[in-house]
Amino acid sequence: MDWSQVLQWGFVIALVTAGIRLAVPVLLAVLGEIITERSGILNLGLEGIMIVGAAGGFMTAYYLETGPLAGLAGSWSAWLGLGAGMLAGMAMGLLMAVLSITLHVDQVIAGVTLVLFGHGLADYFYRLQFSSLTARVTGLEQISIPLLSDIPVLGELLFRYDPTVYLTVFLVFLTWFFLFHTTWGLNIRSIGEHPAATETSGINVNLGRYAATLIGAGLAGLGGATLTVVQLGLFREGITAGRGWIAVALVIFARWRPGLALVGALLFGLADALQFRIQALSQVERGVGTLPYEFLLMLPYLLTLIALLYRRGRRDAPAALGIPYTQDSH
Amino acid sequence: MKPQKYLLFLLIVLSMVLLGACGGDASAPVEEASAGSVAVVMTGPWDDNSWNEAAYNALQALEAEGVKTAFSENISDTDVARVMREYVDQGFEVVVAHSFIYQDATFQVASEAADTNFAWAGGINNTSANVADYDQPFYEAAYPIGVLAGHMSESGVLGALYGFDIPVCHAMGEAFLAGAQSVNPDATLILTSVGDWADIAKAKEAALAQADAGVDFWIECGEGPALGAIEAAKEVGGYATGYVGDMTENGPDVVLANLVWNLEPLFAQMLADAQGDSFADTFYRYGIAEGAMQVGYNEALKDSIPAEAIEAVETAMQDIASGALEVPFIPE
Repeated sequence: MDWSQVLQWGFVIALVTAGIRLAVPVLLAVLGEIITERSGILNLGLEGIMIVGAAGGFMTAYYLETGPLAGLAGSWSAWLGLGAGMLAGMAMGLLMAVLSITLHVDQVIAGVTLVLFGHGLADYFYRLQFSSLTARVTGLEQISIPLLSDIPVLGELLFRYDPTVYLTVFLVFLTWFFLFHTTWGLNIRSIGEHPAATETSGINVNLGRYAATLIGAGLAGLGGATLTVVQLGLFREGITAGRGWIAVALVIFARWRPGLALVGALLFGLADALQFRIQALSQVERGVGTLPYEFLLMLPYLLTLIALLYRRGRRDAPAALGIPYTQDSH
Repeated sequence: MKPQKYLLFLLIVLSMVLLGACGGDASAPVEEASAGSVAVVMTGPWDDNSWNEAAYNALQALEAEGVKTAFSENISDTDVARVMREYVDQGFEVVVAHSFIYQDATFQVASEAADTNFAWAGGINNTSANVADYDQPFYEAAYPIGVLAGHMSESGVLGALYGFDIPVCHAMGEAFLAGAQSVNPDATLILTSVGDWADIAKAKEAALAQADAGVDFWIECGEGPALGAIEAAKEVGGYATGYVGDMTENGPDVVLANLVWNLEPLFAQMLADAQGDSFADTFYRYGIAEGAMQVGYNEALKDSIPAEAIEAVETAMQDIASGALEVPFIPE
């Protein structure tokens, strides 16, 4: 392939914008899971939560745009859809919380059950409502930030996205601030490190874990809804296609830190965007000896594996992660 | 665990299992109908606008002629043997396993039920005394669509978007290119594998990357890639092709033509062969000549296609059907 094509600004801009689009839904789920795991709850049900959020968000936006409710919400239908996706995710989170916190069910099993349940639930309700699969929603317009978006290259790189991209960046900051610079964040982190000691200082461990699980699931639901309502405008069975599982891996990559989560999700998105572009460009002159496409497809996952191999990551895990808390056992 | 907690736990699990189990499965026993009976097992939903819907449409057409039909959707390869045994117990004459991945289960159940005829979507001529194979010559219909692309593509750069670069898909892309080059000798093809059959968001990004390299006419292999290319075409312009079914409604302004798989003549022939005892070891090859492969236009956009292009597509279809033109089959 002709590498000079890769080094042009147009290529870089297209690559980065695609990478950011691919990163956003996963990053939202990662942020949520960081909060949840910081409280000691290992929620492996992200994939199920995301697909329920994706279905709930899409159906809400669709009915606000079409049918008897059409026009009621006007241009807000996409935002309400995103909100509904978040609520649907929280409903799933409540289920996870009841199972793992109140009933002390093994968290790995509860999480995997949630995935299966989420897929069934989303497909069932979607197909109950839609006889044809051609339903679409309009989503959100791209916002070009005034002045900033006119800066050559940089403007196109950073300031011409749909609002969910800016929202996600803000949520990265908010999650970091919440966890490390508020009392609530401190409480949640101490619950995840040593719940018994936290309880003795007058903090309700179960309440904290419920809150962290609900917030986390809400963000994962928002991630799913972003995919369907904003990025694609459609829903299909299995549309999240494993993003929830990738998010679980990225939490470890990010060592339970929101800032690193941003880096990890971006790396993953960029690797995907890059391999699609290498595939496309390497064939402009066909038959030239190039990398097998299977190798390129492997790139993002290879990156994740390498990141997971970095052993220090394990030691950053909350000490009580995955361990059910009962007052009488301490 | 306290008793009331245990009860709550049971309640939640039970309701989850009940909801999760909602979804289609086998139906009541068949009455012995003279017109015969066909059952189809599918890996995904019947209404996918694509592969499974092709089988569903064929069943509907047969049902209208008095044939008893049934189908099961979303059946995983670990569960398919059970479903097929149920159809055997219900007395279906032909049981169609509508996926390549059902191979092992089909031959297993067929060895237990010698009186029932089975067919599977192998396309590799693997048959037995009561198992037939049927291929999917999508590449045949990809050629006339390539002829259309040769007329309609402005850049002359065509895109093929696959889930994975498997033989069925690869042959589609090559035939598509060959068709385009019969019109525009300078036409080139960019093929991309998404790495997933269902991930529409990734497929869209892959199609956008192709568009950056100049692609303005897509053919796709897989439902996810097809929907992704359609969404990408809506964003950057160009035409996408419906995959194995009528996808016009998914992109009324960008789907110019659909590669349509008509399974009705195939299923009807299977039924006739089953009743005539000539089912054994058959490898059904149903393409354009048999009416199983068709090109379906988006009627709303058909006026925008030059008459000579439509004529050229028609000529290609006729030549393929008559054998005057043999579409190159290049599976890798």
